[in-house]
Amino acid sequence: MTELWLPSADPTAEDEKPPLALWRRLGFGFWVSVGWVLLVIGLALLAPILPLEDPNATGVGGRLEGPRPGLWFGADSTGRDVFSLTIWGARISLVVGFIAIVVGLLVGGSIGILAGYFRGLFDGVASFAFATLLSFPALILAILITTLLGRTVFWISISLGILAIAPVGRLARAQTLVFAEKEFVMAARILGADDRRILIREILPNVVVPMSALALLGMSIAIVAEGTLAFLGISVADGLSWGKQIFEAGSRATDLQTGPHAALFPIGVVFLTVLSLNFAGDRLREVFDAKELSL
Amino acid sequence: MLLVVLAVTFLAFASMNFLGDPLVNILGPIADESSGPEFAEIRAEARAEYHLDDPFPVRYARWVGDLTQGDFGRSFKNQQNVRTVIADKLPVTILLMAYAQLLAIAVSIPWALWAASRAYRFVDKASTVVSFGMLGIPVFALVVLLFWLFALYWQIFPTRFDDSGLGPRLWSLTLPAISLAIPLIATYQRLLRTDLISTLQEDFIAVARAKGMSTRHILFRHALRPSMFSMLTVFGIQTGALIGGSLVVEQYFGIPGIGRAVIEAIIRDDFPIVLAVVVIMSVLFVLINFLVDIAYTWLDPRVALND
Amino acid sequence: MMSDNLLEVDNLGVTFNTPEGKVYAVSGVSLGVSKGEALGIVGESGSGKSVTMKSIMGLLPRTAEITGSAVFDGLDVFDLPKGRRKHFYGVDIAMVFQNPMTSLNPVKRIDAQLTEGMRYHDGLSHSAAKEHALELLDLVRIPDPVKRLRQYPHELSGGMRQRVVIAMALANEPALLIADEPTTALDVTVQRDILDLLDDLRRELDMALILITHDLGVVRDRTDTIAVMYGGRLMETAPTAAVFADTAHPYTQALQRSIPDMSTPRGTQLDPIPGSPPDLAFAPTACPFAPRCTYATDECASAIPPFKSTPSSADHSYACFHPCGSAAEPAASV
Repeated sequence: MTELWLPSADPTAEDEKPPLALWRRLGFGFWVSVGWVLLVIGLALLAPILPLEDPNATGVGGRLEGPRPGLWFGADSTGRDVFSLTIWGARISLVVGFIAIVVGLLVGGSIGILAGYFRGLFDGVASFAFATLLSFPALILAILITTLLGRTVFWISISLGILAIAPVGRLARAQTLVFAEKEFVMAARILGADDRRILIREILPNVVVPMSALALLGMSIAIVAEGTLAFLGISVADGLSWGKQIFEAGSRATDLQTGPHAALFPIGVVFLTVLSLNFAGDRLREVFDAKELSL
Repeated sequence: MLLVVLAVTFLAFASMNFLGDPLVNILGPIADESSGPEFAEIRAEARAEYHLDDPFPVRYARWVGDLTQGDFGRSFKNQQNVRTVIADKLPVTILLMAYAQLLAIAVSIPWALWAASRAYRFVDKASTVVSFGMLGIPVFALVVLLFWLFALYWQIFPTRFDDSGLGPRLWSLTLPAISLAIPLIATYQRLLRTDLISTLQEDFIAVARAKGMSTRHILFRHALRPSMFSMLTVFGIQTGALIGGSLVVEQYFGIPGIGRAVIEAIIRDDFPIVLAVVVIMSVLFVLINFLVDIAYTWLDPRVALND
Repeated sequence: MMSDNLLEVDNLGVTFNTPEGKVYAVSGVSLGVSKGEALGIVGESGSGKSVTMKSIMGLLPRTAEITGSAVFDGLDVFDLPKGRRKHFYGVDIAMVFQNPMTSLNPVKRIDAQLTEGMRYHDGLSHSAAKEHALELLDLVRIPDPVKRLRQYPHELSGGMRQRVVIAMALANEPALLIADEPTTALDVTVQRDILDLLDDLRRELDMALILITHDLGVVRDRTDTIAVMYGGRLMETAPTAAVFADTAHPYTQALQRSIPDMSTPRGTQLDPIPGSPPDLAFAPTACPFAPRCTYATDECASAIPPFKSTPSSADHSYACFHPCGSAAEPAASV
């Protein structure tokens, strides 16, 4: 099928079309996604100083009152402001997602890089540990750890971070294996660079790029995981969270029938946020993969 | 592989024992020495029954030994035999997960074939957007959304689990299974579509076309099987996600499976049940991935030679 | 042109629309092959010979734009009636591809691949198809056919696989077999066997054969007519003997000089053709071979030479302003 149908490669053609700037290559959808995530983060950060109703105040609106100006998302079954609940709920979801992925990247990333670089026994042990962690049903592991450590924002983040270690570590190890064989690493070694220098100056920058795409995807996974725990009633003990909000609005059939908006609005926000993170992460990965090929 | 299962059980058992005092979990407040000498006898009895005075390695070895005999121990709370509890609740969970996987495969394969045979045309691009969107809805949001739409708004499916026979059971499990299947469908469709598109570039597809075989025949009989590797790999991995999803689905739809049982057990600190579920799920996970390895040889006769 | 031809291609053009613009893969190609005859199409890779045949087989991607006509046994190949189309390819025309390693589906047994065509087109029963498959394997001289039927492609050698591919193509007794570089991917030792097999089969089954190759030597003793292509255009068509005895086009001549031959004395320097094939991204305005041609003049670079027959024979045509043997032959090459 691949006979010479395409014009033979013309070396001058590349010069005529300068490669698009990075921000253009990422595309319109990427920036819309990033914009949405930044908007949610901004609102969540500013929640205390925004003119919002107290999310815990009942009777702000009527029972399951529909959306109206001033009560944009309507009210839930106890008359709380759904818009305010959603914004405040974002705080825990985002913080947990963020800490979790940072823990995953730091711990998983460094174990993966070291394992991929030094190989040997350490690599064997690390790979086995990753395989073990991955063969735990992730959510059960999360539940296990949170139950044992405690249901605070900090421990929930840590336990979700532990979940991220294995997949991140695997990727970092695989990337390092690829780059440790490359000519520029060999060159650096011949020039007398020690392991530390090679790891930091040569390997790390090359592993960080694909990791940044993984960070966005990982954050979306962590947000979903926290939402799931909250939905099951085993996340942060008495905090607000999207998962908990959706459970409260959606678990009684009669409430859901009379006032679906109380559940549908936060569902929409979760959907858009997760979708944006996935999309942005996917685009980053595509663009950087292409760049790697041209190396 | 056996080693991984062993490591999982060790990790689970160790964390259960070192993070928190099992005695407190069994007896509650009276486990504390300061609660009075009148409970000393009960404490001693409990310690003896659960062998809490033995050193950790001995207890672990005994627990694993019991596991291989199919003995999961007794519940800390109501003295029930854990095996009975599991045997009672596991079937419906397995049914739910199998149902979801079946749905996912039944939908994703035709969808991927349809999209791949129209690769890069408008309909294919549109369907790719749809499947990407399906990945963006977490299961906990999906259950509420689908329940509202199909059980309350359109009232197609029943609102609660009906255990009065196989028919009603399957029918009432349909909505939960769809909730679990939607992210799976999207995952499979995307992988299979990509692999199909590259398979359709192969010479043997051109040969089949030159033989005048119908498009349908070429898609199903020539392109599908060599394109299923990534999907099969992910089938194994997704089983893990399915286990997590079944917790949410069982809890929300009130299905009496082990997902629900484990959440109750966690809330009540009933470790033997939690441990049993962790072990069973890990074994299931490993087992399915083992079956996936076997399935490779069926998909590609060349794999068998390399082993 | 002769109208009694089995396949008659007239003024065929194929253009691809790619993101980088149009590619003129084939322009103004006219060919014919009659019943039981063998036609050789010769050219370098990129000369458009495969694209020509793939357009006839309906194997080009949707981005291809086809002009001109191809008539097979009175049927317009590019506009087949719906009912006819279902049982046309594989029944009337069959094709053998270049690489036997990738031509067979790796996950299906030989018998399934051999019999599916007969069962689909002729509605043969499972056992009848299997019997016919055995006959076919016998026909293409595969030893121990019963055992082969149960094997997978990776268990066979390259030569064996190509025999299977040929057997597959013969399954429905096509009137025309197109073989696209059937030996290029094979070991030198089996190339000859496969070519001889094709030649014998053509005679035995009274089937027309189009043999595509980059090697003039391959078609020399096995075809009735030869068409030489370059840069998507026809350079010369002639009865096989005339191509060698009375070469008209400088490109054909250059091709002859670039291949080893039993008659060339040992130690003779082979003449590779200098330069590289043309970029097909521009609509043709000149002789495509002009930049590499030792006889080229300004005329060759500014106009397309017409495709016309030689004075001596109506069957012998070429597209050149300065055909070999004419006065323009330069002394400069000394």
